[in-house]
Amino acid sequence: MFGYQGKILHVHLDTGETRVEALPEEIYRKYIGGVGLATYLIHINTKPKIDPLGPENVLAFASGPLVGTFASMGDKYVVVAKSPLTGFIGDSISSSSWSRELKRAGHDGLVIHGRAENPTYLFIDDGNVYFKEAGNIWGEDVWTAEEKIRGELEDKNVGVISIGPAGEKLVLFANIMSDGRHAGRSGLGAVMGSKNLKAIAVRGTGSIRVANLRELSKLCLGIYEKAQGPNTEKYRVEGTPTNVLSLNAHGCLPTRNWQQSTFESAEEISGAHFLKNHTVSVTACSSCPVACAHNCVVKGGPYAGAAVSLDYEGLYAMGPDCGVGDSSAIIKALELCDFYGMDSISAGVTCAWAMECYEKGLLTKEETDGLELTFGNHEALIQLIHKIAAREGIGDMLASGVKRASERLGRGSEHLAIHIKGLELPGYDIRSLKTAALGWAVAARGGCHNRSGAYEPDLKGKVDRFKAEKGRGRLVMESEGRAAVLDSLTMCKFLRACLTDFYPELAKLYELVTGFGMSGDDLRRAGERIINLKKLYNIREGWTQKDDHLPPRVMEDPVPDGVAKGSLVTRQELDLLLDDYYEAQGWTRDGTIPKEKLNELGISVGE
Amino acid sequence: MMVTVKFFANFREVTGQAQVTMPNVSSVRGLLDELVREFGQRLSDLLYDPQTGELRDTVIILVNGRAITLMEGLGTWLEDGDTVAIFPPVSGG
Ligand code: SF4
Repeated sequence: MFGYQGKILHVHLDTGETRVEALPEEIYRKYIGGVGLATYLIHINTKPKIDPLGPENVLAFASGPLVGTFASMGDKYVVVAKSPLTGFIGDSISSSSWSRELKRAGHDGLVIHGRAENPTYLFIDDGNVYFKEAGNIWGEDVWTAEEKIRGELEDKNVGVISIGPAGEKLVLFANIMSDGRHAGRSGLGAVMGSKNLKAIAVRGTGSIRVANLRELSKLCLGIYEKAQGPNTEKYRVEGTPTNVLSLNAHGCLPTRNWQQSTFESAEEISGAHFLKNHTVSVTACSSCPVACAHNCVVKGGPYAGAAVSLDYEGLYAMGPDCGVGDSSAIIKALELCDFYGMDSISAGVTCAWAMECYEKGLLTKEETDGLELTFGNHEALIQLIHKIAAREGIGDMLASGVKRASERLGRGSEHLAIHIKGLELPGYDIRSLKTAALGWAVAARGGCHNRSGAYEPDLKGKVDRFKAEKGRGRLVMESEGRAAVLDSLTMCKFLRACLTDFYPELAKLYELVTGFGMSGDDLRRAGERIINLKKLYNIREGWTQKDDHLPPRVMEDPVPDGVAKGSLVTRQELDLLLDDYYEAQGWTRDGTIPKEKLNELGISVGE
Repeated sequence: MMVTVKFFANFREVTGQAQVTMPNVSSVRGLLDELVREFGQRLSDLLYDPQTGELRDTVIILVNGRAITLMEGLGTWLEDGDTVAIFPPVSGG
């Protein structure tokens, strides 16, 4: 095969058994790779309604067909499992040379079954799999774990993904990390922790063939050139933190647990501020031609030496959402999330909820272990992050994410919990972004900006962002489809602006890599199929229409400030949007997938 | 008659200003003409596609928080006290 290796590796941690499964060509054509392939793998390798932290849950990893080839624009891997945070599909993507190594070792995917008796790490060395004792790295942060494993294997180039202490302690929003990047959302680090699996190291020395190198080089060079042009300039210059001021000007910058939508200290935490005061280098993920990772360091003061690769979402969560306008403190808070290996969006939003509860008297000082949890108190925020990672005192409640924490606390605190399906929301105030509100409500993995770019038509002024109307359902559906295709080919979303004609160009790329005939329309169809496959998994796990919801605050508390003042999404508006979306998808009125739709898309896993 | 203009990201870099006030401009087109006169060719390059002479789709302009694409585009009228914000599109983090 070209672009693929045709094989999936299964590893059973409880029995020590490993086996290689050859997948039929048809599965690759249907599900492409990455998120499509890994979703397929969890469908057929798990039973419904299992405990996400029990041994029956599997972790499915997959690379995409572009990985390791000349056409790879950011070598990415996808990991999919039942999420302990949402109880629905959890899927996360990260860049790492690990994905290229796995493919060069001969595998397009890896499925981890069962639970190891003792802390273990795996070493996949081409065709061999070794179960290694991980007692000496259990408890270590991911940087140290990566270094020790590379030292032990005497190979500094081996690909390593690992979990930090938060994953070991089953913090429900723990992530999986590699080369300083995160498979961040939906708590798959806790699934890895529940399996007593600290890390997976891979060394692959095989080759990956492509079908038409000459034509592929031509096509890729064109994209590479654009990747250096104006379409990606914002990522390269200020990076995603540039969003702080734009969203503030739109009145969409969620502040103090979404009590406001503008932040008075936005200038002090803007992209330009970080660039001038903190950025020491700008680097790229493995094989990426763009380079957008802004590596920031605190140069003086109490947090001197703290360092992080800064991204808008983490910045929003630890900054405005917690009322913190001190850029050094934000870097410190984010560094700690990396140190412990947890999702900074979920962590920040959960801390912001605790702060509002404290200020409103729903949490007493005794219950916060003596912490003065007021908005803007970054010393307390930092203490809180330590406590979450250790599941100590109040940290234990918060380590389960804001949905469960608010259910446990009660006292009306559920109204203040900013999540969808249990996943804490990213940094766009959707009360005045009505297309995005729909996109977030229906996303299979919960409140998420990465599984559809539904905020784009709102923020680009393609539609009236303050208005809910028919037609948004189709926009969301199309946006989800495009995201699913990028996540399955595994191509960075930041490169989408470098494509002139999305589907035909990507189909061509796919064809030149794999040799499989694929038209733009076929690829669009594959995206639709993958979205349906994810939804089918959620239905299997008990999804009902009430799970396509918005946080109470988004529906009941109008934006009090800024240009979006007065905005909210009413029940009536949400119902109209949901009806429109289900109809666009060809689903039933209550949002389930009719049998004919599954047949039409050729999906047969549910039977 | 006075309009407040806020620049962000690359627009701020090119003009060297976070905010300016402009007197006597009645439409967005008139405002941009004035701004180009004041800040020069680099601003013009950032705003317009040299081939078509049209506003680039990498430019977002809001008047009081509303996108001009949903009003009269460059022909959108401005009133005393309006705030115009100019930036590149927001995209995911
Ligand atoms: S554009 Fe940025 S996030 Fe995407 S692969 Fe490149 S460096 Fe990584």
